[in-house]
Amino acid sequence: MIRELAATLLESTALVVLVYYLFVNGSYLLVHFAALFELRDEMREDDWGPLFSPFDSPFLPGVAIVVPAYDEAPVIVESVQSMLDTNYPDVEVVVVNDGSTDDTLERLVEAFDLVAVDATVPIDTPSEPVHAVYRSTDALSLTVVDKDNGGRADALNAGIWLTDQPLFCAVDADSIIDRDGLLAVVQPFLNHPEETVATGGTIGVANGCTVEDGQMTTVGLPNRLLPRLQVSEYLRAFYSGRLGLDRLQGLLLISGAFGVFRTEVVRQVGGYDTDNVTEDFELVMRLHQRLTAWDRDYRVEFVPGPVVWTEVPGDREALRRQRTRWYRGLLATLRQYRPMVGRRRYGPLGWFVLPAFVLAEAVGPLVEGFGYVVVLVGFALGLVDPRFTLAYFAVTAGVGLVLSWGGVYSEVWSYRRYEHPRQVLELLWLGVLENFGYRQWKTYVAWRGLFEYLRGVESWGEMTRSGFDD
Amino acid sequence: MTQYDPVTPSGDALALVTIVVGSLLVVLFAFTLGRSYWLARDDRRCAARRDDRRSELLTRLYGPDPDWTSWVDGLDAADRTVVRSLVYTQLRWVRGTERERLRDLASVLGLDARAERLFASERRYERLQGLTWLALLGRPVDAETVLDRCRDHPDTRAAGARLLADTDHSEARPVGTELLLAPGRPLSVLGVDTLYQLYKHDAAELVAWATRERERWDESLFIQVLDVFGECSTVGPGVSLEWVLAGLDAASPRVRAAALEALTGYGWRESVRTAVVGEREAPFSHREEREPLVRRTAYRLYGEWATPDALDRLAEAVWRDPDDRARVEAARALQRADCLSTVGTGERAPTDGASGTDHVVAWVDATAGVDG
Repeated sequence: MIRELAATLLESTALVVLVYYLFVNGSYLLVHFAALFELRDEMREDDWGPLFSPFDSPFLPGVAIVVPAYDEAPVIVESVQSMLDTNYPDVEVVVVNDGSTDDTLERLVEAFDLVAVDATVPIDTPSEPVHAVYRSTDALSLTVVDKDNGGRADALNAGIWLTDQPLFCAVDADSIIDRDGLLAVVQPFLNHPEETVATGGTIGVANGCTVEDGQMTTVGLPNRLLPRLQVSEYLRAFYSGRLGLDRLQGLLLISGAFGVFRTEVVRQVGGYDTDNVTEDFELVMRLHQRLTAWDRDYRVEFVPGPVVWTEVPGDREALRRQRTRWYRGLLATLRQYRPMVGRRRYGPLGWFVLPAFVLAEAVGPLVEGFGYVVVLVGFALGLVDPRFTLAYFAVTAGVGLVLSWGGVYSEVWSYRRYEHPRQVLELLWLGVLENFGYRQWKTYVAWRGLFEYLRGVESWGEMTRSGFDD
Repeated sequence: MTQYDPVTPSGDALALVTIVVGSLLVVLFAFTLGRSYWLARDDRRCAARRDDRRSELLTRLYGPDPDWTSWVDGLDAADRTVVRSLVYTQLRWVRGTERERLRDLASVLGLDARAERLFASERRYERLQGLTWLALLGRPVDAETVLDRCRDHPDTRAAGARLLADTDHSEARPVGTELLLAPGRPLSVLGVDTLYQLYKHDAAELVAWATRERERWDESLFIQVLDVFGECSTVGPGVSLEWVLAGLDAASPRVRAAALEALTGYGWRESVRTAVVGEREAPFSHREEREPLVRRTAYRLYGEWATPDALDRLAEAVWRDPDDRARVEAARALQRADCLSTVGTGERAPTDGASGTDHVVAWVDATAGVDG
């Protein structure tokens, strides 16, 4: 009786999973195929410009680089120096010390000769109370805001409300921007100044790279396996994937580590949501929702050229915390904006990207994790043919590998940040390796994230910084 | 007892998928690694050549006689490719005699002919490349040809106008403006800057164009033209600014703000001052203007005009405007006019129980040296 039930269940599950698998992987392949066309156009665009020097133009918009900082003492000075060295004429760096418990503020004060402004801030910020604002007589474009702890979104809101620049760039304190990165990521605002409201650049893994005087001098692969696996993952998801979504006019996410936004528009929609643990994703979704409701022509674009280099979690526990948080945030945001899913009013974003995203990113890891359990049960009951299972696993891993290698190919075809063939070979190998253990572990993390979400866990999770020299 | 066979959906289908995916992987692997190896080898070879050729190029460029023809004759195909890219980079930085010499070198390398070919292409990106090269090389072009080949896309329209502007073409203004201000999508910053380059010293023709064409433009294009006009040198008293003044009563707050911004440099024209103030009791104060964006722009304008009336309006705004940012803007405008200390004193003191905003003044005062 139990075997009969299990066999029926297994057969129907296999059918559902097969249909699901075809749709999700078809969508992935479509997105990554679209990425190649987008990349081709981006490269062509790079070929002809610029026809003028934007730095000499009075119409180049000023940018505030807003850096939320909580316990970032090991990296903060080098990181801020890199931002001050950015090759952009009208830039203000606003560091928001979000109630750090270490000596983040003291290091900034010492390194940049900061002095507290002897007056109360006259602008009411939608954030925890601001204690003081520091200015530097050496680095005139640097402002440091000291406030009570309220989280990343809260710190960003303080910075956004206190700047006068028309654009702001949200950057993590543990990040290094390419010297010409800001001008590149602002480019869509120059091409379409009336429509562009948000752009995002590429996220690169800083572990294993060499940083000197706040600048990335050598791009290398991390020494440890876990960060190495994340390089391959970032190329697939944050490079090739976003290029494809951009092509399909459905960019859903601009990483908090490197995104430029029109300040006034973000203020109009209320700033970052302090209750959401993936505030960057939520903000972009809200922009899509509100701007569509206001019937505004707008653009949200991904720019593949510029890179912000960020330190990724080096140990399993830190990575687990980061990924469960991402997953909880994903579920919360998708739930909040579920009326947008499948709606033609939002264009390709509504009728294709969001439904595919829900199935692939929210449901996908859960189905995959469930599948592993079902297969194990099937094995135990002798209901699964081992050869078929092996072949099925090989095909699914193979399709995943096509996507991973597609990400590596896009990189080699375009900006070649990993320029040595040996590095490329390693990246290709990492794409293979992640199918044995890492991928399965991520499904466990997703299930854990689901349970945490259902239990109402809202913690952010700590990320221990080791500094760029590690 | 019923026997159940293990679940084995179609093995043939799976085998087919395996073959397709496997083939795809082999191709991707070979392409990715092969390309990486090939490009890395190319990089190594080019790096050495590039240093040598750059050194030779700069020596000749700054020497008494570059004699490009004999130098180029002695270069092989790979060297010429390197030199072409060096010329492309250097032309963006070098000025004067050296620029002319580089253009001669470009001619010897056949780059001018290549630019012409690219410009004649049906493909948009190639035309844009051609336009970029022609602008860098300063090659004269026929205005009608530019008009014909550049109309189809905002990027080519802006690039075509820029080429005419950069080469000081006699038809740069009429043809460039026609390309840039054709109704359609708003301009890129290249387009806005090109319009500015065309009219920055004398915007009278732009005013005439705007007066004639304003009704055909959408809101975005109108705002962009107002922005350009505001950056240009001021026009004489004989030039009517009705088209700008009309923007003050527009329904869109962005247009009202842009019109005010454009008039910032015209405080010396009584007709403009009268038109801005009009019959209004409290022009552009929070009592009449709901949008903080417009009020902030008005406060900047009052600060630039710095008439006694304007300064009084600013002092009142510091005390009474309900928007934080607008109050700070008003205080900054007063500070730039060296009148911040008069807020709250004498005739500029509030006459009723206005909420104290000393901290706005204190803030602007304390940050004046840094914020300018």
